[in-house]
Amino acid sequence: MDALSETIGRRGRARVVLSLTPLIDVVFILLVFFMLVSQFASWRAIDIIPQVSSGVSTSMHQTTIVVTVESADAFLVDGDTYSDVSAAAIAALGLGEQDTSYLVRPGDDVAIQPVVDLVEAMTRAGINNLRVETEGVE
Amino acid sequence: MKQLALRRADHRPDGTLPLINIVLLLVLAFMIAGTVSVPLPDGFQPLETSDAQPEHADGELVLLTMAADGRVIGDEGDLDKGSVANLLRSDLAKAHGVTIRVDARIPASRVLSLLAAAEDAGVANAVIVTMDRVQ
Repeated sequence: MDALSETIGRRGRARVVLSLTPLIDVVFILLVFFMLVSQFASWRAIDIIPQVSSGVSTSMHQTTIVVTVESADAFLVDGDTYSDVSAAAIAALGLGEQDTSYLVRPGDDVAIQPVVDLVEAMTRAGINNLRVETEGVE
Repeated sequence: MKQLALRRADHRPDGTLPLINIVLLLVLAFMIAGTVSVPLPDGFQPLETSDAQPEHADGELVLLTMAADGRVIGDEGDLDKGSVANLLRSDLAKAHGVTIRVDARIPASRVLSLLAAAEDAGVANAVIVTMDRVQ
């Protein structure tokens, strides 16, 4: 009797066929969804402090040096044009005094990339008291 | 004999199982390693820096993207000036900050105006995010 019921049980179980096709469909749809919406790029934050040009400076520093970004490879400091936008070259200019603040002024239609490059190079050169001038809210 | 062969064929392991396993692993990999966020506009050229700090996003921040043509794109598509101002004044922006992805070719004045607008609206934590420069 036990042998008979075991045989019937086995046959009964063998007849239940679980279709994997819907599972495969769902898993593929999930895969396509995650492939389309996932991003693996790691974004990094930069510290740019804007200062409205018409506003009153909150800086306590007495001297402010304006650094004007003319293009991707040219910037002006006190009327002199420099082309080497690297931390070493900026450090060689002798900037970075403690009681001086720096205002980076983007020239007309200058893209954001050269401005960020200059700010990054100045920060690397040890200049921390710097802000980026803006005309204010459009 | 023929019946025996058919029964054996029924019990053969399904050939699709390894495929399902691999696809499930791929799904898991995308779910764990990838970040679900608003896709970047076509032709987007991100800002690049060499030594910026990794961004620690809390997942609820307000994410804005500035395309090369000056459009500001939020979670639900293009935003006009009024919508941007409303978004910056929202409690979510004030509580969690605003992250701005910027195309490298856009004029600096536009990006700085947006940063100034965020500061003006009372957003304490408005940051521009960049990609690592490939050396």
